[in-house]
Amino acid sequence: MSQKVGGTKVNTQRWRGSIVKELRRIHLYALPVLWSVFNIFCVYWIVMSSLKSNREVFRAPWGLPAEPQFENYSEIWQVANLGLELRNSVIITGASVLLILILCAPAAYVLSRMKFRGSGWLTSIFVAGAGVPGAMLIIPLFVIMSDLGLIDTLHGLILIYTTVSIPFSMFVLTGFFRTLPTEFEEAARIDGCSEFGVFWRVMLPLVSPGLITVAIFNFVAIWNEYTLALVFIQDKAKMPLARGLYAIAGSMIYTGNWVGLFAAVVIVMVPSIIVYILLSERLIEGITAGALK
Amino acid sequence: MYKGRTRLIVAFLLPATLLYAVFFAWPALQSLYLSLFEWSGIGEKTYVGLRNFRELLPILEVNVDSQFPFLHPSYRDVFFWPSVEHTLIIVILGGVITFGLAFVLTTVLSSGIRGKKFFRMVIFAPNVVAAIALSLLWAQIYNPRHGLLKNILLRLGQEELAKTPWLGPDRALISTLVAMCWVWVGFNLVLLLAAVDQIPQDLFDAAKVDGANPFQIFTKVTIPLIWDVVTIAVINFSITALRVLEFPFIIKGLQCPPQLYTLAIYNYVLGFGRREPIWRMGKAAAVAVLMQIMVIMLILVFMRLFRRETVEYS
Amino acid sequence: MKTAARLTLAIVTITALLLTSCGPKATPTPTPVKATPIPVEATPTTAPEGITLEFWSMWNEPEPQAAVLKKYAEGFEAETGIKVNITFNGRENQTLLRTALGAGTKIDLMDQDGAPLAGGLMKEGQGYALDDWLDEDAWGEEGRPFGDIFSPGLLEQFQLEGKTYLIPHTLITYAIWYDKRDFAEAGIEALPETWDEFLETCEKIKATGVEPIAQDAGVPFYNIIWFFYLVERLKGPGFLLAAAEDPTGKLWDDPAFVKAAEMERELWDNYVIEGAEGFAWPQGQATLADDISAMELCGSWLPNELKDAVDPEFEWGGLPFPAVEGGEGKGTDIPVVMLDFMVLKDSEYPHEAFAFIRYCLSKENVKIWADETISGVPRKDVDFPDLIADAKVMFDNATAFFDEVDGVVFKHAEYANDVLFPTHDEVFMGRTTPEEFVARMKELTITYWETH
Repeated sequence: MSQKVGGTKVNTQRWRGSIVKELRRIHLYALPVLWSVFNIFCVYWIVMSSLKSNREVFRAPWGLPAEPQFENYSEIWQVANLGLELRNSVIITGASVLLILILCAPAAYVLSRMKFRGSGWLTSIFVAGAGVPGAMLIIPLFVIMSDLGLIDTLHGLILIYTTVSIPFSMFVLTGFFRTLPTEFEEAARIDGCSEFGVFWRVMLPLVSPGLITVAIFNFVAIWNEYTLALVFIQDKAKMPLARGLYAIAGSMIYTGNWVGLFAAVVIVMVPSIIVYILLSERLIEGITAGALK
Repeated sequence: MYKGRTRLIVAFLLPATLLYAVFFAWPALQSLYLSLFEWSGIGEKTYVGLRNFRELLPILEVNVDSQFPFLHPSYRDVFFWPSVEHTLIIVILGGVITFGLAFVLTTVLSSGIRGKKFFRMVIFAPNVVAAIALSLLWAQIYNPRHGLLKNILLRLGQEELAKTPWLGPDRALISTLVAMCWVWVGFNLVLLLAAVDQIPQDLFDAAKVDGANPFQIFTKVTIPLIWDVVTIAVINFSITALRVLEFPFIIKGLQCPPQLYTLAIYNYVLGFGRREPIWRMGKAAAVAVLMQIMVIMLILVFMRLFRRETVEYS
Repeated sequence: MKTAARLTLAIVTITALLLTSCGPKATPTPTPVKATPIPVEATPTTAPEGITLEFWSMWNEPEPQAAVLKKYAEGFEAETGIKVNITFNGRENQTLLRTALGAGTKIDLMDQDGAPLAGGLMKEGQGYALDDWLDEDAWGEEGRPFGDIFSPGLLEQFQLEGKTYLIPHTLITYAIWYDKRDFAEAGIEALPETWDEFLETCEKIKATGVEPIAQDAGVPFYNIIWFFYLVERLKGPGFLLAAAEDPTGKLWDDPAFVKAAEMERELWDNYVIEGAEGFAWPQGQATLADDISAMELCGSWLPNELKDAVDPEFEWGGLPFPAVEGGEGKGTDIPVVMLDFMVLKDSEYPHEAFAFIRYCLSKENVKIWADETISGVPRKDVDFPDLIADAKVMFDNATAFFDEVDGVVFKHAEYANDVLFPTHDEVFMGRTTPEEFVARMKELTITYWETH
């Protein structure tokens, strides 16, 4: 049925059709658009606050800064040694996430696809760890790390981060592995693939959405983690960004330098967002590849 | 063939299990064992048996002289049951809100509208921002003097409502819960969208060809095929929500008010509180044990509720 | 092949990352040299080579106090050859120390808020008693005992069984900080000295359209300031503590407690800024900086915290908490809050650590501390910074010292956290009546002591 658009008959059928199609769906856009507007506004607020003066930030919290104070950023960058901390965060987070995948993917595969005695128990033990409040681990773990000489070392912290991420990662990966059909496994075995080959060439690629999900979530969690870094790292040359942010937050609130705090937050936030954007593209590719199996 | 299989299993499991045992399970067991002691965190530990539990859970004490034999008033801990209540509100109400919204958004975003990747990224964005920034943001939104919420309500003509102290004692929990759900929805949306994206398009097309309407497609095609991921998402959410600490702890600023105490916060205050050096590691461990039990019960309940045949693609 | 390449890359990356992260282990302990006690008359001499003191500090690296401490460390090393390695942990310092000490980490010196430290590591016996050395010379002042430099009463405040473990470096009190311009505009010429005069002052301010009192009501330990001050004014120091410690709860029947609650409520109902219970800190104090309110009862850190947020023409005044007519406490009694050093019991160089403390508290260094960190200082011969000069006047005129919250927080931390603060918040914010408040305090005190 042809419709009049603005009183004139539109020539291109397809163009008219697609606008109409979207208009009919406009109710669907309402929620995501409203939500996105709000979120973007929140990020805008954080960024704008970082460019204000301390007087403005409480008096006129929602307006634009009178004069953008970019020196808030350079001040923070110098005062807080953020360059070095950024390097540390990249190393710590990158290594931890990689280590988590390397350790947990094979373990999850075995626990979810291979029935052997105790596999259910072991899975539950892994997952149950998620209920332990992190604070409780600190004292006994500190003793262990101290005895092993791992206090105040980057690799010690990486080991800790990897370990505390095991419950969640195992949980998600066993879930994703379980959804895979057995036909591929059997076909691969029939084709003469070794057990390892079945895992490496067939099952692992199929579960890449799960791997990427686990990678993204662990990246974000570890990037922002500061409590364990506070306990296990004393040397300021080894501190990650989130720990630096904690020091900045702690000092800013007592000197009233809230805008400096916001600047630091933005600096910490930017790499996370970049990584997320990059990885989420890979997520799409991974998923489409998986769906075309 | 079997030998190769066993070797593989061991090789695949050993690193994770070893790491987990040494750096997680062993310290966790030690700290849970602490619940039977009275300890300040340094120096001597004193064995007290179940005393910490009796302090937290009055029900274990039976006093036949009392009017209420099962609730001996001596053992009435001020914070434990309120913490349980707040935590359960966060888990259950928060879960309903979070997943309700996440499902709606998943459906809307996978219905073929434009900008799905953009919306997903923006809605997920709060998950990458530090909690301190989010708490300052929401504290300003809820500010009774010139908060965003107040300004919006005034513009809508709601003068009375605009005066509400959103972070006051009566509403702090709900207001904080809204802020937390705002973050959690983004997280679970990514998970659920990933699951939906895994469903081959031809299944949807086939269903449409068979004459199914969108609701039927949702219930008969989408939900069953993403059920495993839904299970993961719900269980993970419950555990995260049960352990929530940072956001409610810092949203009011210098000190956490009693209305926002969660189990994890109570555990933390008992053992690691800074301003009030309570330093009762044994009692903190007892709270941790009870939390652990709750988590295990949650997992068991969910595994039962969510158990079904794995649906595979044909 | 793609997968083999990816695997190789991953392994190489991890190995590289892990190798680059292998740094030096935690500071190795230098060979121990037994420190010999230095005779009282001698001035500090250069200690044997190679000593490094481990100092764990409560400050964060970007804070001005951290910068000053680093200056001190450099100066001290230049004069004595003893290195001071400072780890800036932030306010969680004490709990981090507790963990580390339990695992055997070697730490010599620490600092922290005095009250939590007294109720924490000091109470746990982790401090080193310094009494034997208090007669040593103050740094740079031959013949003057170190203990003599402090305002009277400060060193005794946190003594444990008669021994001194804590040495203050920062001195704080609570006052009603006010905007002098608001007072001038309201025509207030003489500062109020009694409670009734104070209420009149609030009325006058209110009449000019300014909110009299700012309050961060979301912070329980800010709300309690009104209460413990009023109890002290009514019944003198130590009464609140006695009531908290009384297992029969009978002391809570004293009418002073109801009176104190009623007096607070009058403030809350009439003069505290509306909506205060919905504030998240620092929104309450921000109203003071934004010229919306005129006064706030807070620690002497307040002007420093708000110094960037106020107008350039803002003038701070510090009003001592008024006296209550007929009360036993005086208007010149003040609560004392300190930030302290403590030497650790297991330190291998306690005397050297104490030498560093003496160095930090030399007259010159204390002046630097006051100026650069804008803090009050415990030396009687050094002034407070101008911003909080009124606080120094309060110290000079003080007739009695008492602890914040009468010491309930550090002596009975769980009582303060579980019983006192939440119950007080309820009455302060108008959610229960003063009578209900007292009844509940009595009940909870009794049940608390049944299990503690």
